[in-house]
Amino acid sequence: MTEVWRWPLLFAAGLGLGAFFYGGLWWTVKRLPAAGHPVLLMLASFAVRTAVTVGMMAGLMAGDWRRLAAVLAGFVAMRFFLVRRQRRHDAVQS
Amino acid sequence: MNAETLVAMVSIFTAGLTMGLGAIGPALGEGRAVAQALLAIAQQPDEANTITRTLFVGLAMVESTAIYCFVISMILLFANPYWDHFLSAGS
Repeated sequence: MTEVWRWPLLFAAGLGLGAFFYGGLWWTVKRLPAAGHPVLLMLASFAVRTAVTVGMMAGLMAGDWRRLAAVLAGFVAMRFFLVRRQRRHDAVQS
Repeated sequence: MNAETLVAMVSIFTAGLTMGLGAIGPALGEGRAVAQALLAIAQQPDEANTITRTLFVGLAMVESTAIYCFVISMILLFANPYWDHFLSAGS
């Protein structure tokens, strides 16, 4: 049971991490123009997002690089999805 | 110096090099992108929405480069796929 679901679960975890990472990036970018210290906001956001993402990836990897590859595949899939959504929104607006 | 020590040394050195280069490149690119975007928003506040969306797409590309470098150095340090191969070849 766990054996069958291992890879889909790792992929789903990658999707979740991607949603967190790029969702946080979108949140930061939207606040950037109004921020008093854009550099601080950008740096703090990057540090927190990267620390959480890489920490979770290290934990999920559990010493096997194929597990990390599955998580990364989910992460990249979420990036692809989010970027495409923003592009489509742009095309509708203009 | 035996094979395992050499593999470990090269892996650690490469992981550090990967992280160093992987931090410098995206940092320069991201700083430039954000500076230009804020300048553009200051000049045309009406276009802020479009500029923000484009900035997000660009930053998503740039920041994933840094994540890829993190992943590669993590694999090299904690789950080196070549480690077992050299361990069995060395003994």
